[in-house]
Amino acid sequence: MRKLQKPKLKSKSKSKGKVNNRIKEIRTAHTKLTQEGLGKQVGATRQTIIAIEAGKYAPSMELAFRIAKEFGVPFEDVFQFDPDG
Amino acid sequence: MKAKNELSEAERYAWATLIATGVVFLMFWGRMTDGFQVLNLGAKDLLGLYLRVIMTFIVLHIIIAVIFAAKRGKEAQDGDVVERDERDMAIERKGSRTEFWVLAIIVQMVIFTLLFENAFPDGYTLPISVLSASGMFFVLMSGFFIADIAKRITMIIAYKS
Repeated sequence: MRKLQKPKLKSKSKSKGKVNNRIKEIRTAHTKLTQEGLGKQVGATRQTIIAIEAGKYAPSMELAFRIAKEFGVPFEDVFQFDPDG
Repeated sequence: MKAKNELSEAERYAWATLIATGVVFLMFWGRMTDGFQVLNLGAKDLLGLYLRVIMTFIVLHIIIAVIFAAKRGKEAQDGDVVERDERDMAIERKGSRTEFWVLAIIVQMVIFTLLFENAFPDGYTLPISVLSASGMFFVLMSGFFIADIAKRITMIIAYKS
Protein backbone atom coordinates (compact mmCIF):
# COMPACT_ATOMS: atom_id res chain seq x y z
CA MET A 1 0.00 0.00 0.00
CA ARG A 2 1.37 3.39 -0.93
CA LYS A 3 2.20 5.68 1.94
CA LEU A 4 0.19 8.90 1.93
CA GLN A 5 2.34 12.01 1.78
CA LYS A 6 1.86 15.05 3.95
CA PRO A 7 1.15 18.31 2.14
CA LYS A 8 4.39 20.11 1.38
CA LEU A 9 5.01 23.79 1.88
CA LYS A 10 6.58 23.96 -1.53
CA SER A 11 6.90 21.19 -4.03
CA LYS A 12 10.58 20.44 -4.65
CA SER A 13 10.02 17.18 -6.50
CA LYS A 14 10.54 17.06 -10.24
CA SER A 15 8.93 13.69 -10.89
CA LYS A 16 6.13 13.30 -8.35
CA GLY A 17 3.76 15.64 -10.12
CA LYS A 18 2.03 18.80 -9.06
CA VAL A 19 -1.43 19.80 -7.99
CA ASN A 20 -2.69 22.66 -10.11
CA ASN A 21 -5.74 24.67 -9.24
CA ARG A 22 -8.20 27.08 -10.80
CA ILE A 23 -9.11 28.90 -7.60
CA LYS A 24 -8.27 32.37 -8.87
CA GLU A 25 -10.08 31.78 -12.15
CA ILE A 26 -13.24 30.46 -10.49
CA ARG A 27 -13.13 33.00 -7.68
CA THR A 28 -12.89 36.00 -9.98
CA ALA A 29 -15.18 34.71 -12.75
CA HIS A 30 -18.00 33.09 -10.79
CA THR A 31 -17.98 34.69 -7.35
CA LYS A 32 -17.45 38.09 -5.81
CA LEU A 33 -15.18 36.66 -3.17
CA THR A 34 -11.89 38.33 -2.43
CA GLN A 35 -8.90 36.28 -1.31
CA GLU A 36 -9.59 37.38 2.24
CA GLY A 37 -13.30 36.61 1.92
CA LEU A 38 -12.61 33.13 0.59
CA GLY A 39 -10.08 32.59 3.37
CA LYS A 40 -12.64 33.50 6.02
CA GLN A 41 -15.21 31.15 4.50
CA VAL A 42 -12.85 28.17 4.43
CA GLY A 43 -10.84 28.91 7.60
CA ALA A 44 -7.60 30.08 6.06
CA THR A 45 -5.67 33.32 6.08
CA ARG A 46 -5.48 35.58 3.04
CA GLN A 47 -1.77 34.76 2.76
CA THR A 48 -2.55 31.05 2.51
CA ILE A 49 -5.10 31.62 -0.26
CA ILE A 50 -2.49 33.73 -2.08
CA ALA A 51 0.08 30.92 -1.70
CA ILE A 52 -2.38 28.28 -2.92
CA GLU A 53 -3.43 30.35 -5.95
CA ALA A 54 0.22 30.90 -6.82
CA GLY A 55 0.92 27.16 -6.53
CA LYS A 56 3.39 27.72 -3.70
CA TYR A 57 1.41 25.74 -1.15
CA ALA A 58 -0.52 22.51 -1.64
CA PRO A 59 -3.52 22.58 0.70
CA SER A 60 -4.63 19.64 2.80
CA MET A 61 -7.49 17.51 1.48
CA GLU A 62 -9.82 19.09 4.02
CA LEU A 63 -9.05 22.64 2.96
CA ALA A 64 -9.17 21.70 -0.73
CA PHE A 65 -12.64 20.17 -0.30
CA ARG A 66 -13.79 23.21 1.66
CA ILE A 67 -12.69 25.49 -1.18
CA ALA A 68 -14.49 23.37 -3.79
CA LYS A 69 -17.61 23.27 -1.61
CA GLU A 70 -17.48 27.04 -1.15
CA PHE A 71 -17.47 27.46 -4.93
CA GLY A 72 -20.25 24.88 -5.29
CA VAL A 73 -18.37 22.95 -7.95
CA PRO A 74 -16.93 19.41 -8.06
CA PHE A 75 -13.49 18.97 -6.49
CA GLU A 76 -11.85 18.06 -9.80
CA ASP A 77 -13.06 21.30 -11.37
CA VAL A 78 -10.91 23.21 -8.91
CA PHE A 79 -7.91 20.93 -8.44
CA GLN A 80 -6.15 18.86 -11.04
CA PHE A 81 -3.17 16.57 -10.69
CA ASP A 82 -0.43 17.06 -13.25
CA PRO A 83 1.86 14.00 -13.15
CA ASP A 84 4.48 15.78 -15.28
CA GLY A 85 4.41 19.00 -13.26
CA MET B 1 10.28 42.55 3.25
CA LYS B 2 6.59 42.58 2.53
CA ALA B 3 4.50 45.55 3.62
CA LYS B 4 3.21 45.28 7.17
CA ASN B 5 -0.39 44.62 6.12
CA GLU B 6 0.78 41.82 3.80
CA LEU B 7 2.08 39.75 6.72
CA SER B 8 -0.21 37.25 8.41
CA GLU B 9 -0.54 37.37 12.20
CA ALA B 10 1.55 34.21 12.52
CA GLU B 11 4.31 35.77 10.41
CA ARG B 12 4.28 38.95 12.47
CA TYR B 13 4.46 36.81 15.60
CA ALA B 14 7.52 35.01 14.17
CA TRP B 15 9.19 38.40 13.53
CA ALA B 16 8.33 39.71 17.01
CA THR B 17 9.66 36.62 18.79
CA LEU B 18 12.80 36.63 16.62
CA ILE B 19 13.52 40.22 17.65
CA ALA B 20 12.77 39.44 21.33
CA THR B 21 15.07 36.42 21.35
CA GLY B 22 17.75 38.40 19.51
CA VAL B 23 17.60 41.21 22.07
CA VAL B 24 17.90 38.80 25.02
CA PHE B 25 20.76 36.95 23.30
CA LEU B 26 22.62 40.22 22.75
CA MET B 27 22.05 41.15 26.41
CA PHE B 28 23.37 37.74 27.47
CA TRP B 29 26.34 37.99 25.08
CA GLY B 30 27.20 41.44 26.44
CA ARG B 31 27.23 40.22 30.04
CA MET B 32 29.09 36.98 29.36
CA THR B 33 31.85 38.09 27.01
CA ASP B 34 34.47 40.72 26.49
CA GLY B 35 33.90 40.93 22.75
CA PHE B 36 34.52 37.30 21.76
CA GLN B 37 36.34 36.19 24.90
CA VAL B 38 34.10 34.39 27.42
CA LEU B 39 34.44 35.89 30.90
CA ASN B 40 35.12 33.59 33.81
CA LEU B 41 32.32 34.58 36.21
CA GLY B 42 31.70 33.19 39.67
CA ALA B 43 28.88 30.77 40.42
CA LYS B 44 26.70 33.40 42.12
CA ASP B 45 27.18 35.83 39.23
CA LEU B 46 26.24 33.08 36.78
CA LEU B 47 23.14 32.18 38.77
CA GLY B 48 22.08 35.81 38.91
CA LEU B 49 22.68 36.26 35.19
CA TYR B 50 20.82 33.05 34.41
CA LEU B 51 17.75 34.17 36.36
CA ARG B 52 17.82 37.64 34.79
CA VAL B 53 18.18 36.30 31.25
CA ILE B 54 15.47 33.64 31.64
CA MET B 55 13.07 36.07 33.31
CA THR B 56 13.65 38.69 30.60
CA PHE B 57 13.11 36.04 27.91
CA ILE B 58 9.88 34.80 29.50
CA VAL B 59 8.52 38.30 30.20
CA LEU B 60 9.23 39.51 26.65
CA HIS B 61 7.56 36.45 25.12
CA ILE B 62 4.56 36.82 27.46
CA ILE B 63 4.21 40.50 26.49
CA ILE B 64 4.28 39.58 22.80
CA ALA B 65 1.75 36.77 23.33
CA VAL B 66 -0.57 39.10 25.28
CA ILE B 67 -0.37 41.83 22.62
CA PHE B 68 -1.20 39.35 19.86
CA ALA B 69 -3.98 37.74 21.93
CA ALA B 70 -5.52 41.16 22.60
CA LYS B 71 -5.39 41.95 18.91
CA ARG B 72 -7.01 38.60 18.11
CA GLY B 73 -9.78 39.36 20.61
CA LYS B 74 -10.46 42.69 18.93
CA GLU B 75 -10.51 41.11 15.48
CA ALA B 76 -12.84 38.36 16.74
CA GLN B 77 -15.32 41.06 17.78
CA ASP B 78 -15.13 42.47 14.26
CA GLY B 79 -15.71 38.98 12.79
CA ASP B 80 -12.16 38.75 11.47
CA VAL B 81 -10.97 35.60 13.23
CA VAL B 82 -8.70 33.57 10.91
CA GLU B 83 -5.25 34.41 12.22
CA ARG B 84 -3.59 30.98 12.07
CA ASP B 85 -4.32 28.12 9.72
CA GLU B 86 -2.85 24.82 8.49
CA ARG B 87 -0.07 26.55 6.54
CA ASP B 88 1.03 28.45 9.63
CA MET B 89 1.09 25.19 11.61
CA ALA B 90 3.06 23.43 8.85
CA ILE B 91 5.57 26.28 8.84
CA GLU B 92 5.87 26.16 12.63
CA ARG B 93 6.54 22.41 12.46
CA LYS B 94 9.26 23.08 9.90
CA GLY B 95 10.78 25.69 12.23
CA SER B 96 10.63 23.29 15.17
CA ARG B 97 12.45 20.61 13.16
CA THR B 98 15.24 23.10 12.42
CA GLU B 99 15.35 24.09 16.10
CA PHE B 100 15.66 20.45 17.14
CA TRP B 101 18.53 19.73 14.74
CA VAL B 102 20.43 22.90 15.66
CA LEU B 103 20.08 22.08 19.35
CA ALA B 104 21.05 18.44 18.75
CA ILE B 105 24.21 19.47 16.88
CA ILE B 106 25.19 21.97 19.59
CA VAL B 107 24.69 19.40 22.36
CA GLN B 108 26.80 16.88 20.45
CA MET B 109 29.53 19.51 20.03
CA VAL B 110 29.43 20.18 23.78
CA ILE B 111 29.71 16.46 24.53
CA PHE B 112 32.63 16.07 22.13
CA THR B 113 34.40 19.16 23.52
CA LEU B 114 33.90 17.99 27.11
CA LEU B 115 35.29 14.53 26.38
CA PHE B 116 38.12 15.91 24.25
CA GLU B 117 39.18 18.39 26.94
CA ASN B 118 39.28 15.63 29.52
CA ALA B 119 41.04 13.15 27.26
CA PHE B 120 43.70 15.60 26.03
CA PRO B 121 44.02 18.34 28.67
CA ASP B 122 47.27 19.69 27.15
CA GLY B 123 46.23 19.42 23.51
CA TYR B 124 43.02 21.44 23.71
CA THR B 125 43.18 24.58 21.56
CA LEU B 126 39.51 25.38 20.77
CA PRO B 127 38.34 28.88 21.79
CA ILE B 128 35.75 27.86 24.40
CA SER B 129 36.39 25.48 27.27
CA VAL B 130 33.38 23.68 28.74
CA LEU B 131 35.24 22.46 31.81
CA SER B 132 34.44 25.64 33.71
CA ALA B 133 30.91 26.53 34.81
CA SER B 134 31.20 29.79 32.84
CA GLY B 135 32.15 28.01 29.62
CA MET B 136 29.47 25.33 29.90
CA PHE B 137 26.82 27.91 30.86
CA PHE B 138 27.78 30.17 27.97
CA VAL B 139 27.73 27.38 25.38
CA LEU B 140 24.44 25.85 26.51
CA MET B 141 22.62 29.16 26.82
CA SER B 142 23.99 30.34 23.47
CA GLY B 143 22.85 27.05 21.96
CA PHE B 144 19.37 27.61 23.33
CA PHE B 145 19.20 31.11 21.81
CA ILE B 146 20.75 30.10 18.49
CA ALA B 147 18.28 27.19 18.15
CA ASP B 148 15.34 29.51 18.84
CA ILE B 149 16.65 32.10 16.36
CA ALA B 150 17.15 29.36 13.76
CA LYS B 151 13.53 28.29 14.25
CA ARG B 152 12.19 31.82 13.74
CA ILE B 153 14.41 32.45 10.70
CA THR B 154 13.32 29.13 9.15
CA MET B 155 9.69 30.15 9.65
CA ILE B 156 10.22 33.60 8.14
CA ILE B 157 12.01 32.11 5.11
CA ALA B 158 9.18 29.57 4.69
CA TYR B 159 6.64 32.38 4.74
CA LYS B 160 8.55 34.24 2.05
CA SER B 161 9.13 31.23 -0.24
